[in-house]
Amino acid sequence: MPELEHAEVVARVARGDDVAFSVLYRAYLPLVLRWALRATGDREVAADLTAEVFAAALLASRRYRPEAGPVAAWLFGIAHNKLRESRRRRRVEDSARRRLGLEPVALTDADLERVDELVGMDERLQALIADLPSEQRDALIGRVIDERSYGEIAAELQCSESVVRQRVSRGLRALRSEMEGK
Amino acid sequence: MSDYFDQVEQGMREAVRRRAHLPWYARSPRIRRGRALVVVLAALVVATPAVGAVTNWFGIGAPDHFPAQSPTLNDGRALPRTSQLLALRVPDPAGGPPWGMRLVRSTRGETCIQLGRVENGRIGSLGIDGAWHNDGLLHPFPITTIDDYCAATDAAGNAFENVGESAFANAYPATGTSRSQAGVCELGCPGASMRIVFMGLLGPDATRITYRAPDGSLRTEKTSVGDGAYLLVFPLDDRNCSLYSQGPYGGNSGCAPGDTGSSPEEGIGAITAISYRDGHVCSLHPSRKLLAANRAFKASAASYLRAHPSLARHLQHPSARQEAVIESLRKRLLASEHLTPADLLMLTGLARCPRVGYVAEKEKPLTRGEVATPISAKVLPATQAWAGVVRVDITFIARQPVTTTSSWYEFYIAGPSCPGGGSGVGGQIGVGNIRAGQQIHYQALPADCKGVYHGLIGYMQDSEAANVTGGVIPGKDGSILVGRVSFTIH
Repeated sequence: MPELEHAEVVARVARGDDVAFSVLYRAYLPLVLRWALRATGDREVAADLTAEVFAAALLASRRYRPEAGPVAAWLFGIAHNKLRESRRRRRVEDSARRRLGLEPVALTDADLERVDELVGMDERLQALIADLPSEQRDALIGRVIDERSYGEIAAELQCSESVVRQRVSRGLRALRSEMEGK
Repeated sequence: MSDYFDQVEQGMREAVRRRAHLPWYARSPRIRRGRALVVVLAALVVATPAVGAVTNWFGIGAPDHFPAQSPTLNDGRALPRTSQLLALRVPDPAGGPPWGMRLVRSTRGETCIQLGRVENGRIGSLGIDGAWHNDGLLHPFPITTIDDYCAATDAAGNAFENVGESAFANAYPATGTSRSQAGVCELGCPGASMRIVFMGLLGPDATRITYRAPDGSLRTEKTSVGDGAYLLVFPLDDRNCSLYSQGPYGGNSGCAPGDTGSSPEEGIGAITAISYRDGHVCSLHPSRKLLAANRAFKASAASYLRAHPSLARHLQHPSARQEAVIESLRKRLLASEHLTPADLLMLTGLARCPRVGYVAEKEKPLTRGEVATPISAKVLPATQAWAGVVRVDITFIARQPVTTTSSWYEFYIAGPSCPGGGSGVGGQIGVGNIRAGQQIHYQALPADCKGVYHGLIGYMQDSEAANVTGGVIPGKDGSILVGRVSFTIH
């Protein structure tokens, strides 16, 4: 029986499957939150930005094309855009949430502790990244974490852009397999 | 509710159930993207002179690169020698190559629109606003590319489609499959670089559209001969956004650059009427009488809400039950103003014109006996990767094939009601071709509540001929019941 892929989960979200959204959200929340915390240095802002990233992903779900890259790369693309826009506006973007008609949710001290907890979940991921073959690890960190262009990474690693894309894709696939306990 | 992240999740799930994440034309479960001639009332803006003008001449650069698309999935792959660059050209507010449309047929029975800038008979993206390292060249789209704007091709070779996008990068109108798009300021472009675009195919009988200009006047534009194509391009700025997104009830959904891809919202649109060659006009613009009745309705509604403050408090985010109360109240108030359901559609911006000139495929309708097959369902064991999610493997042998986007298998599962669970889950099974005799495995994700669930499987033979879209209940509205299945979640 074929395993349900995250790309298919995104397609289902686009078709109006709310349970599929939960699947996506729970799978990537720690990853996105950790990235947001690293990018902003503030737990409250990171939580706010993360919510906006998922709202924007929801709005963009119908445009996701698996051929263009893995779900993680797509989500981080959205995240980088939201961060850039938030910096430009000097406040965390909330247009996607407004568009969805979502009410603002207040953060409590307990929520901030939950941020730590969720980010902590990502420690396993860090260990898995560290275990990747070095060429996949370097490409993955360069692209997904440090948000550098494929061209830039290719120049540094002295290979073609398509090789970098392949390494990033393989790295993400390997991570997902590990996370899913395959 | 437990914590912030749970509340965010539940809010977004609720938004998915409302289909708030989908563009207006895809929100009704009976309306599929690119399908119905949904054209809404409200304001439209015309192209204004250049803001931050770009260079006037663009050379041709390297072709754009798109990942290969599967011929048997989603909209399919472009069929060779079917592409047709329409003669339609629309100037960009900032100058440079005009906008144009190219049509291409797909392996899955669709006609797809490629939107782009046109230079020397080539359509593509521009090397500005971060795209293509700002090289100032036009990069042609390959003719094999299928973009997001597809509709079923009818038996006469026509397609009927209407699209509105509120925040396109000036440089890059393709919808995100190109490899060159990484650098473009799609979500963070300065206002002068963003566009509002309306485009569509109104069929062979359409001759012109009427639309509202920003000064309030109505203007007409000829559609292209043969396919009824139209294309309108406007700058996206606060004023125009307000004009476009102002719904008939005063709501403003906004169209910030970050909102790319989900518009127009209810109540926004371009066209107020479509004229056909036999002389008849399909009007989508409310009459003065209707607008006056609507004002009276709004006054009555406001008065009612003042008298019922508890209901007023929940208007923004009503529960399902409150929504039903509000809907019933709205109907009652509208009836008191002698407004018909058609008037209501007009006022809510959901009036639509029929597909004039549509020719259905001549297929013998299948019977239930020709599609029925045993269905089995198995609740899959929980795994770490899918913690908190119930997965059910639905299995059956497909007796009829799926070869186009107009046919599909679908499911619906109803179970015990539970918090956050909604009333049931359903949808299309897969997004690609299915062979007759193929064994289907589909992992459904029902709500995580204990109890007995009942599922239905259906087969849609030709949604175009049935004039329905995804989201129907299996066995109804043109769908043929394939079988039933039950399972228990312990």
